[in-house]
Amino acid sequence: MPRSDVPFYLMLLVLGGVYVVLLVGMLAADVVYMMTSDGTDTFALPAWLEWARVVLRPVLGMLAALGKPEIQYSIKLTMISCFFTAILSVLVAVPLGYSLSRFRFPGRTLLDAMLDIPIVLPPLVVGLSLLILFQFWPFNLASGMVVYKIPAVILAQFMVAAAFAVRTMRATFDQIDPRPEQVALTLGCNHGQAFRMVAFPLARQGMVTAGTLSWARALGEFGPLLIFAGATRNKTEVLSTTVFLELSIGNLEAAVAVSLIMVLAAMIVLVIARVWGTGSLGRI
Amino acid sequence: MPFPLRPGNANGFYVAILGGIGLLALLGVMLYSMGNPSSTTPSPAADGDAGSSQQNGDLLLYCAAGIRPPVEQIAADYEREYGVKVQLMYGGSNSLLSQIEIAKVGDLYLAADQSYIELAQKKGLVRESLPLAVMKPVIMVKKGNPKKIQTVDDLLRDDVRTALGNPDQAAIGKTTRTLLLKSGHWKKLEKHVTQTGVFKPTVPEVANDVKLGVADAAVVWDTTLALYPDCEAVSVPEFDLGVANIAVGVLSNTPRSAAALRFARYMAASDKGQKVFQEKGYSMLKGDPWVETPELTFFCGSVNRRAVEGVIKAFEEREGVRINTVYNGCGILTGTMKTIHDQNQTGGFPDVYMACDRYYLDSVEDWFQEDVDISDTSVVIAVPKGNPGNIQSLQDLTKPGLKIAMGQPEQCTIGAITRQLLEAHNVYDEVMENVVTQTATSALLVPTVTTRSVDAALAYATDTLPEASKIDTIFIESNAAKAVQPFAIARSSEQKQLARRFYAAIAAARDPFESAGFHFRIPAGKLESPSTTP
Repeated sequence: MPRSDVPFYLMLLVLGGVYVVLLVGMLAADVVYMMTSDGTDTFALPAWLEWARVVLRPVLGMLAALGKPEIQYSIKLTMISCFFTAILSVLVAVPLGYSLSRFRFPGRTLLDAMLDIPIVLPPLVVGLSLLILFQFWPFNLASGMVVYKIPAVILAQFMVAAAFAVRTMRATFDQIDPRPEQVALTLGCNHGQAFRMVAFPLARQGMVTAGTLSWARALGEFGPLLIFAGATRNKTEVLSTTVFLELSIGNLEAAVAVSLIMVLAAMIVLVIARVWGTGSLGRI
Repeated sequence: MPFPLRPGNANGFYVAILGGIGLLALLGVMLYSMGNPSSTTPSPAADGDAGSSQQNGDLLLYCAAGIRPPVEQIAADYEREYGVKVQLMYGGSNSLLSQIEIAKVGDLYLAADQSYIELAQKKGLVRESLPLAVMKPVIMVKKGNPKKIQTVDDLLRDDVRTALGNPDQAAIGKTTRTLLLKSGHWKKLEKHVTQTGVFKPTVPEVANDVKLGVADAAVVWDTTLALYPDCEAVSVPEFDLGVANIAVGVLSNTPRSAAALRFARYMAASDKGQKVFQEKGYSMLKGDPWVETPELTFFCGSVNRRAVEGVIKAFEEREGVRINTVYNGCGILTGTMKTIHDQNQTGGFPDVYMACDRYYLDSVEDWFQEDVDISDTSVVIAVPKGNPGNIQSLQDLTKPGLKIAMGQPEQCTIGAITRQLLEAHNVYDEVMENVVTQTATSALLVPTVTTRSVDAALAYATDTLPEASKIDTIFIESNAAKAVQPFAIARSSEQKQLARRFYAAIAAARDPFESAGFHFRIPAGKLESPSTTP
């Protein structure tokens, strides 16, 4: 006689629930915090909406933030740079992940460990190291075009985001059975064709995951940016920089508003990517 | 698992690669257009070619993030008035310093406390430093002071949670530690905060803790409170001495020092930048009034000319200002000053004065701030090459029949010193019988010997140096044979800050003074400005 499944489900619910509750609580606290601040009360609301002002404050706060030209710039730069970084990361991650998964070559373990460095390194150090790198030949030749400019934003995001993409692609190719590729080889394909026609199409979902992961990582990137790209308004300011700039003058409401904008943007992009990655709405 | 050899899938790989690269290119173009805005807001000063000139003309200012509100406005004002864009890069004073050290680009560095600028100066990263405003530590609490915190001792109460700036990272922390070590509270407070409170690396972080209610009290700058309308400050006597000076430094290797210094002067100007600081709740300092291209009138004794000429030129180039230098005998210079003063003339009085000798400062001392001795030089006997008259001492100058030149005691320092010297050796009257010419400035003495108009002249050692091929120099063993050159800033000067930087340039010019034959009196590495209180 099967024993009850209730304890099992209960355990799933409790253990998983703790994290989800914390996560949702965090966001809810942000929203509630904005409801208590009267910074946006100068906004005129139609009379029939006045009763809902307290509830609308978070939305008003976000609208106020969206209305500022420097924040519009920041959003635009954030979106473009994140997509750029994500695509670039996947482009680099596919060959690296495939090589690590399929080939045995000297120094493979070392390379494997090295690729985790950007994940381990404190963010500020990544920025500092990049800044130092661009003092040496041949990088110093491009220093004038990169340091404290938009390319530095990309590079700082890419250095960390790519590490996550490589991890993902490595795991993806590890999970793809090499047998179909071997079969393709026996059927007359060379290695390139086997990769193009067998492994690559099978890795599609992994690539989407790697892309979204590095996109999300790029969005949250801040430490290296501050050092390597600088926090300059209307130039290298991305949303995480905006949060820092608002926090540093005690404007917590604006900082939270911008953070919520980031959360919303991330939700939209991640959901779309998931739908596109799996090809169905049902698995959201 | 389907074997993907259907026609549609076969070139999916190429579609993905090309699509990816295409997207990258598209996004790259968009990024490029964001980095080089050619069509948006043409700056008023850029004549025609907005795109390229903007990149070169922009100034880069590393700015302490907590000082953003006034600085942002000043930069916007400046751009509107002069069309020069100032890019503000924010961060903590400390981390900005590391960035400056490594990246080696940028023009200006604004720190929340003078001590960072001084550190940067020590490392050779910053040359000039201009004070902007001052702040004082206070205890920050929620509006209404719910925990009734009135003294530093209240911070030690068990029910009070305090947030402090980390003494090794934040200027506020360092100042707090210094002040409370003095008052004897630090050890106890440090222990209490470690147990129940928190140390954080920047001022906004500790202030935000109070705003959010995580901490009951924090030590912040009085100016921080302007940003937190729902909090209030508690002033305690222990903090009264802990003033921090916000200052802007000009980076040593900025490629456009004149433009950088001009903006720095604008920030520090009493009627421009400092007014904005005051509006934002900062205490003002006494800055120079704003002049686009300021001028300094410099009265300079002729003896100093060879040493200071190069310094003046370099200073003018670096600052983009004008120094109107008047070289003359110091008697004439002080006479001019007296005339200007007596007649109440509005212009013409010097901003800075470097006398040939202290003697010529004493008579006008009241009009100047505290002075600093820069250099000294000896009075020597200059004779034609080979010393045909065989003159070895002052005594020899009394030989009958000699022709001697000396300075006019009423008009120039060399004359006055020579008279003192001769009197000290009891030969004044006898030597005077041989004096055939008295010059109005020291500069004319050596030429009397090189042209062989006289047999000997009493001149500055520094003046004989360039003519060493034509004359011999006889040194006089006497303490009275020395002229000391002091530098002073006029009380009436409108440009005292600029004058002080000019002083700094002179005080750093050991080499030009020494190669001009002076003995330099400012110890290396020591830079005390004449009168730090205006």
